[in-house]
Amino acid sequence: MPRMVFDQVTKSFGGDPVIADFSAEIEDREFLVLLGPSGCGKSTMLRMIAGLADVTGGAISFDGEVVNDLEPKEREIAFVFQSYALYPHMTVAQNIAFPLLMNAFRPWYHLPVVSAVMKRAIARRPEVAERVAEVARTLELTDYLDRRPKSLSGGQRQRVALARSLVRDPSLYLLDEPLSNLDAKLRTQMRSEISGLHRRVRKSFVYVTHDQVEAMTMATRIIVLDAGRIQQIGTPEEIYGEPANTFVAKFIGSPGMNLIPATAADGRVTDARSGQVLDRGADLADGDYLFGIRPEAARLAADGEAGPAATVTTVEHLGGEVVAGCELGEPDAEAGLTVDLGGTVFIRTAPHPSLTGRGRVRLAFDRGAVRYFRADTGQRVPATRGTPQPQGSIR
Amino acid sequence: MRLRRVTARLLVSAALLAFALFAGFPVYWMVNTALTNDSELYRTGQDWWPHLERLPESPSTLADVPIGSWLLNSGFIAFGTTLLSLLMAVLGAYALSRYRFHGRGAAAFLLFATQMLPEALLVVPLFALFGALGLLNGLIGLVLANTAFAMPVALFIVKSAIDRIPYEIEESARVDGCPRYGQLTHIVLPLVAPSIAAAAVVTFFEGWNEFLFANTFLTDSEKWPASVGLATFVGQYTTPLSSVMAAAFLFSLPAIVFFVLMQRRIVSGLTAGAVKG
Repeated sequence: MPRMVFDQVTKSFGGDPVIADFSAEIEDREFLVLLGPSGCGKSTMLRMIAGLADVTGGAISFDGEVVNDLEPKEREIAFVFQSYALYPHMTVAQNIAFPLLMNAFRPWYHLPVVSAVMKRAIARRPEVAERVAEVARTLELTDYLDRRPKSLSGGQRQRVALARSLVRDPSLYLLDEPLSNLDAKLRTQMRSEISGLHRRVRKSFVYVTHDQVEAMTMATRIIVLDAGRIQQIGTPEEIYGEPANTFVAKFIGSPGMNLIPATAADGRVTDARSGQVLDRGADLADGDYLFGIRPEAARLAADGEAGPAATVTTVEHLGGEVVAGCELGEPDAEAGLTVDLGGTVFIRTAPHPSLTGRGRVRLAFDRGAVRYFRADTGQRVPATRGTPQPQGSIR
Repeated sequence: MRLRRVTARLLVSAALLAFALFAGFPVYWMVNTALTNDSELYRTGQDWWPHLERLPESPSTLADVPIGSWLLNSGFIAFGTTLLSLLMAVLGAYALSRYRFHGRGAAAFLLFATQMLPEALLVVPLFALFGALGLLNGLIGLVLANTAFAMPVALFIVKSAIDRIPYEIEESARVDGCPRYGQLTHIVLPLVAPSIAAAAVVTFFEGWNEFLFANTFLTDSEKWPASVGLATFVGQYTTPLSSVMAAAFLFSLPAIVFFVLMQRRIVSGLTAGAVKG
């Protein structure tokens, strides 16, 4: 049950840095999700934790012991691959028992004839057979123990891969996008199964995904990565509510946070393009910012309520609610507003008759949910109008 | 409609049967000739139907030659070539497929280069070399010479099969605590078994059909393989065709048996289900 410390870990392939200056401390029994877009280095990071890839610089330690040069086996880990990586010539039972066999194998057992004899002998040992049966029962694989992987469905194969990792009772579970090959319904089911597994085994999990829904629903802590650099470390709530920078703000959420170029002067924040007032009384130094608001914190203004005018451009019905894209400003000079349309603001709200193509609306924002980011660096401005200090650290 | 389908199927079957008979006829004629005596062959003409009643007496035509030891010699060369080639091919293929090292491309090229040189070109240098090493007039030297030609072919057959195994399967085994050589024996070899069987067929026949080196290096007729022994039947004035055919039949038999045994293993699709794909 390790407490993991990453101290300025770097990884380069032929001089090209893939991971740069990765530093973090992860407590025991966390469900850590490495989240980021494709090619951000998250799988490479996981492979370094597993010992399947060398660490170019820095140190990874488990419970204070640097594990950089340890073989995967010596790290007491289990690894679930995106492609399942089952042994196709073995039955489900043999697949699950394989880590136990290897644990009991002595070097000379690997000799051709000896290995066949010893594999059978060890598989028949009561402690091995019972453990395989127990794990198979846990993951509802008992009926498939004599089948080979090719005759299983995707979800069943995934469960075999999980069973194989579970059987050895490792102290750290590493999962590399394990659900990406499953269909949407099965993914939801497996998500809760993996979360349940985490609660049951009470061990540390490191889970790599590009799917923010998986990250938000399963993680106790998330590390958001982009281009090999940590963007933010925090709980799902912190990552969502207090994004450290514009990358996290846009990446998390569907659609992501609205970021409207804005100018602050004398506590008044105006849309940089349409000139409409977005916020008043903000505790900001004069200058250029990005006005950030989550789609669900933006809504249609009530009758008579002040708010920036906008034109509806897109409407997506999601059943109980609607995601509408609204361009700030109004394409009508006679209304006394500028025709220069601002950026598109997405709002997530209940269906409303005015939310139709080219409909003219006024928007209202939940002031407590407004976040400001510096226009030049993209970093969030720590506190405005008494909003709470961020919990997530920025590295 | 049904009639037309049945007719079409009959026509296709008839065509295939004709083709099979055409392809198999030489084998039949070999057996038939082996059971025909020389007077019939050269004077009255050969019957279409084999004289099966002569089967018990047919070995007597080969009584003058040590056909048994020739076949054993051929077997030794063939199995020796197969085992040595496969052992080296599997290890070499795994290294070329899975390790990144300087000179990997050059090593692969050099292995291929052995195939560019005709065997006849190497007879004299090998003769000199084997003479110096004391390998002339022995079967071990022939196993080595044939392995030099057969192994690269086997290596590339096995390498292309290993290349198709996803890395993750071996990495998974590594995480499960399997050492590198264990990954080869537990994971890779069972998955490339069909290709190893195919390579075994190729190397076996390279050794079984050995003629040129044996004819040059071996002086002792007791050590001849069947191929060389068979060639000595051809005399300056007469060739006992029925004896040649009887010996040829015996020479073919082990090769056919070996191929039938191996071809059962040459099945594909074993890696299906390993990874999503």
